[in-house]
Amino acid sequence: MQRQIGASGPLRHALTIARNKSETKNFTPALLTALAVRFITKSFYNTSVIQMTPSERLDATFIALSDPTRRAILARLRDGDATVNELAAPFDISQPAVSKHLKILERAGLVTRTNVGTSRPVTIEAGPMREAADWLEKYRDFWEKSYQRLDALLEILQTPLNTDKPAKTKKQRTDDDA
Amino acid sequence: MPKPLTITTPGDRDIVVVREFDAPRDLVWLCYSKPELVRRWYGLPDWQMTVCEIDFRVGGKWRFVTKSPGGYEMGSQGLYTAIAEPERIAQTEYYDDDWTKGGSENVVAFTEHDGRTTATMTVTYSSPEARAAAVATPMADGMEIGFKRLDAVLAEELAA
Repeated sequence: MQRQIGASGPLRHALTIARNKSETKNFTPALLTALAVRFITKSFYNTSVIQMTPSERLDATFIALSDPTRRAILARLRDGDATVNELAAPFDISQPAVSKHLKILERAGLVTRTNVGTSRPVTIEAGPMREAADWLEKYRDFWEKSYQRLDALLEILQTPLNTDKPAKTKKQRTDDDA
Repeated sequence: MPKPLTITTPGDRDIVVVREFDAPRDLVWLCYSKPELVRRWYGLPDWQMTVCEIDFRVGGKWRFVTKSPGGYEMGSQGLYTAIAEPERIAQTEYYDDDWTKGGSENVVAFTEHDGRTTATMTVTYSSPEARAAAVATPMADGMEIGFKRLDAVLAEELAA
């Protein structure tokens, strides 16, 4: 049963405990599925971005994005899921090295790996990237608003002094009248 | 109206902001170097600039403090490391709360074409991790800190 659903780590552990505690006949397929979903979800939450503060998530995202190999891995994953072997192929680095990069991407929540089968395909996740983009948007907003005030200030500084204007207009009118 | 600014993150430690202004370079230069002019444009909307000190010479110190409507004060300071009038200003920047973990080196370069000035600001952090730390603050969290302080003040007032 464990092998069929590809249980590993916390799930296998939980199932073993559960099986030892109660009678095996109670484990209907539906209950096993529910248990599997619960433990996969739980183990995902425990190791992922969900528990981090927004600030820590951004740390993780930007650290993850600060490496060319990891950016290339993400670029490849935009075209669809891939296994570690497939991801390692274009690079001149070992599969363990790629796995190490994947761990950093996983920690930032930029990729997820399904616990199905032995190949464990890697999927790109858009959420954290969006948070990073949101920050840049706020930074842009800070400077754009400041610069808009600078625009207004520059315009004022370039406008001839007000005291000259009415006098000139008045003089012109007088000239025209005469 | 000038075009909106562009923002890029080349390399793993830099943030580059480019913006054009409808004014000659000499004037833009003054707006970056005279405290009475800096006060009139720099900072977050609705925040008040309580301190704007500029000792505009190489090795001179600058210090800015801005205050949120909720009373939260954000201070930053540094030294001018290079001044090439009217082309380039280089300065270090450290936030009081050390949000950026080791500060940054900021360079603003000004170029002029047909009476218009392009300002290119490059902010370089000490490491990719420091840029990440900076990215996580203060734009996003600074405001939140402000609101939290306001919450505390309101709670105190209500309890009194």
